[in-house]
Amino acid sequence: MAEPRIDEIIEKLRLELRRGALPLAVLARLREEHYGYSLRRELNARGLDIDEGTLYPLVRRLAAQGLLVSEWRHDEARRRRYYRRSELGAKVVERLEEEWRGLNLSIDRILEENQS
Amino acid sequence: MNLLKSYSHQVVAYLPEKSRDDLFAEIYDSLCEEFAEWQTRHPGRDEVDFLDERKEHPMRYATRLAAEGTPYLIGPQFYFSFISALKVGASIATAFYLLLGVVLALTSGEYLASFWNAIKLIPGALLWVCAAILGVFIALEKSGERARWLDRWSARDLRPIKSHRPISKGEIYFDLALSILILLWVLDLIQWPSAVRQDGSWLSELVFALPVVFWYALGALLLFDVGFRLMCLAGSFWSPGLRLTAIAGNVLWIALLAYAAVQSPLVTVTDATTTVAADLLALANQSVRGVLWSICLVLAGSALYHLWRLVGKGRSGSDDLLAPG
Repeated sequence: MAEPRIDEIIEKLRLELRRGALPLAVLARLREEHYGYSLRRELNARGLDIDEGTLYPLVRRLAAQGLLVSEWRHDEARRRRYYRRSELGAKVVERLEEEWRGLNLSIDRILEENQS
Repeated sequence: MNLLKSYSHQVVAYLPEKSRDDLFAEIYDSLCEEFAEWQTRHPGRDEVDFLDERKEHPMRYATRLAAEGTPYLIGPQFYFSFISALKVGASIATAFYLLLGVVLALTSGEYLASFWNAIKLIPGALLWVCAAILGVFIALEKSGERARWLDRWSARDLRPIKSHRPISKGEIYFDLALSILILLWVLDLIQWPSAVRQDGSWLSELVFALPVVFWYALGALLLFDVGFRLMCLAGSFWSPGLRLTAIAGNVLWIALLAYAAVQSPLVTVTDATTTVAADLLALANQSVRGVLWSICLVLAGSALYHLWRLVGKGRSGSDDLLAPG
């Protein structure tokens, strides 16, 4: 059996790593109202490169869970859906933020031990 | 922005129908914004360059939108290719047996029996085709192969479109079933009641008093109708070509039905011997004529609607998903 290429493995693991973190980033940014592309631009500007094929399923899932509220409007002769964090979303972000910081601390510790 | 619209259509065409409208609006809006930004950095370059440089095959895009990350017999990477292969395979098999039926009917002399024998083979052939395609795709999935054919995609394959009103599948299925039923009746494969009764009097063996050439024209139009409906089923949106074909078809139908409606007598019977029967016959003629004119009216309305969507303000009407970019 052919050995899988290291780049492919890293790419898959990288995607898995980001997949877990993206909902937190999206929920945090949606403290302010955004439509799909403006949200993507905001995240990209902060170094989180995300394509629409990943972003749209994610915001739809978060909206279906009640963490986001959305509204359709007509801007520039196009239909545009605006998303904003719901009250439930705000509570979830608070809890997830604690989780994230705890996890970050633990992983840092493990990685430091790995280097020594 | 026609190509961006066309690209967005192609992406959502692979996704569940109920979410298509919303997804289309979001994808199209995002593409328009991204394209505008990209163009400021690449002045003079067009949508084709943008799509080729920044976007992947619409099937890949749709796969990412639909992916849920669960194990599949045929996974997201191959799923849409599999469905497309099934559609193409089934269409080719059906067309082959229809053609075979026509050839056998023309060469054997027993028109209906030969044609019917070929038609009867279609369900079995479809099963074999589907089984073969399923086998190939399961093998591809299990081997870990990539869908390499999607790498060769280019935005130059897209055709700009000006309208993106979706085709109503229910309406098409209804028209298709109706055309096939009438075709079967014309071919004498099914029978409809040919008698009228009123106040205890009967008119039996009702027949249409129309020339042979009318029946040939009717058969040809019905075959055209079946083919056209199948084409509509294969597409997701009304293109100008489809609308033009629909208008041409409706005009031909109106001409043929109007020709039949002005014939006198239109329907006749083999045993119209009594006075009561003659009265009933006149009533039957009137009724059939009324039905034919009503159908003509409906067809004219449908043709005018297509014309309005094609050339009038209906092209950017409010029932479109969004205004043209």
